[in-house]
Amino acid sequence: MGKYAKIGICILLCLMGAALIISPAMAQDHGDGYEATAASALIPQDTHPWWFWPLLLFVVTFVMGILAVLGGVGGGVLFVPIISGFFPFHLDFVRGTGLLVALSGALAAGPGLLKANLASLRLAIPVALIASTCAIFGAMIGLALPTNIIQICLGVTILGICVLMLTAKKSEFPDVPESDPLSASLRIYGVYQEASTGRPIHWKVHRTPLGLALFVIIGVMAGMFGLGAGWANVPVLNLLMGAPLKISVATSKFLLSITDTSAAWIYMNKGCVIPLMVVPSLVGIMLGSFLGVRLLKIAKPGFIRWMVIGILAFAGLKALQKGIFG
Amino acid sequence: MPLKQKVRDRMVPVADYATISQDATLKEAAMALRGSFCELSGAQSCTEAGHRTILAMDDKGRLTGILDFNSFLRALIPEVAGGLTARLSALGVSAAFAEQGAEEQDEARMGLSARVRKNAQVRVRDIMLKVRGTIEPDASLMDALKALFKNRITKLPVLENGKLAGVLRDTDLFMAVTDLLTEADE
Amino acid sequence: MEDTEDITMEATPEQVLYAKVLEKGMYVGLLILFITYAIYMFGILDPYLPIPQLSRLWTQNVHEYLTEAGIQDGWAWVGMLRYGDFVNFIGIAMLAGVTIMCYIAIIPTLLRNNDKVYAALAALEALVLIAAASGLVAGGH
Repeated sequence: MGKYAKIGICILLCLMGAALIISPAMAQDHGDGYEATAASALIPQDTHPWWFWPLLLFVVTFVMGILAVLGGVGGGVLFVPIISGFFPFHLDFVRGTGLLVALSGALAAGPGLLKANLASLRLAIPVALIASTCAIFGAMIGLALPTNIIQICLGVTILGICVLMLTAKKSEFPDVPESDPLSASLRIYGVYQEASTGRPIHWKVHRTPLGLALFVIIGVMAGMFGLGAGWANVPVLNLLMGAPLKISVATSKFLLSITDTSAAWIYMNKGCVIPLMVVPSLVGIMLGSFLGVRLLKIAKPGFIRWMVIGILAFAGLKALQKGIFG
Repeated sequence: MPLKQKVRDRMVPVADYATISQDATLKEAAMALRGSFCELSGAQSCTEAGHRTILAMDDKGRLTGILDFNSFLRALIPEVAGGLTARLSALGVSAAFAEQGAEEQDEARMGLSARVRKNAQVRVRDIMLKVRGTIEPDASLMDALKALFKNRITKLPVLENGKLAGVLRDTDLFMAVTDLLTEADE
Repeated sequence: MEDTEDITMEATPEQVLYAKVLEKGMYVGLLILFITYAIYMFGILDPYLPIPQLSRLWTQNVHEYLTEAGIQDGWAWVGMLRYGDFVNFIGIAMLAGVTIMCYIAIIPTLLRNNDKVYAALAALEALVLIAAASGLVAGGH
């Protein structure tokens, strides 16, 4: 099969997924008040068969996983906006599921990144402490505020993320003249072997206090919105603190596993995790990203990144609409 | 009768077998195994007549593990030869880089030579296979045969008082058993 | 560059240990999750909240969902493991808890290398995560 045939199949899958997204949104009836007592003796009004929602979630997250890899946009930042924008689930449950989905992606990549010494534990531990603590506060705030306020904030944040993705640069080997006192005393530095040349690359970081302060904000946002914060971690680690891009990307992914763990527990303890949603989404995104990696070896159509950012922006506008107009 | 012989009569003495420290890198172990397998001491082409495994020793000279061709390949090209977890792990790492638009930083997409050279930095002790059965030099060949098949291995290290004395290979036992056929024809 | 000459390209022992615990915990957690999800989907254990009902309740916020379904929040799911939907929480809790196990696992290694600062940071992180997991810091309505 030629490479463009495979890309064509990928696009067909996207369209199929899009069609499936639109149909339940039109089929769902909203809030007929009903009286519920115990778990039985209820006339169900949802006529979909039991496998409908898991399968739908699986297909949509599968496509999402492929697009996340091909588009260079984290799956963790796609899940909450798209699912909350186009599915009938309440934002509380979407955020809970979104955190678990982002968490499992980070858990899957973590061991490989750590063993290869690309994710730096020394860099991650202090940062994670700040971020995970603030994620707890973010989750508490996010569950305390009224839903429409959260929707508005989510919409604004997503649009901001889109702008960031379109404008942020990346620095492969930032110039760090000197460590700052904090990172020097914590011995946050390392060396890795640059694969293309075989040379060892020594790296260190600076502006650590400012970086940690930014991670306060990142942690709160991760907890509040259930978004995987890779889009924020990498610029702070790479552009602000000066870690090489490879180290920043790897450490960022690893960091997600810790930040999202703390927030996920808050959501879980508040009852915001629905198993029916979690497993198909988790499996869908992971399998989708694996397939995306295989497709990436064949070709990377440039328009996919634009398309994904466009979908994200659309989801952001939808969140704003839901928040303002209810 | 061949099968009444002892293990020490058929084993390869340890001096003729390739060994490596378990703290050496995979690259050093690979070079040592190539030297032994190719039976060359110069730049001539490889005879491929030497031994196909290399023994790992600790700093006290005790046998701690064994490496065969497959264990080298599994470590050097895990995305192809590795087990399911190694291949999934490689996919997960690649996905992590691609999701940040940094796939050119992804080591799994680098050239094969760069990847292999990097993977060869791993230490022998991290990937060596466990020694699943050993035998004494004064044991009979029948016992050696049983040990080989019971443990499903092809190389049986021979330990004398806990120290490595040699290696008994499945080829040595093949020769011993088929010697019975040559005798019967006479 | 002189201050970074004392390190090698290899991952530190605590980093390798973290990776190993993470890998094992993740695979075990995923395996349990798949098994319990199969139990749920194929009705081997009856769910507490039948799916048609669930799909009506998930449009509402979590407070109303819990009240109408009669579900307690927090760790009450442990008492409801005979139901097909709640048994999935074992796998979910495992995946959410593996990071805590990793942090606890590396503390002895850090102490052995006389890295008191990082051992303290790791212990602090484990405490933060345990506090989040325990439900002590639940805020909200």
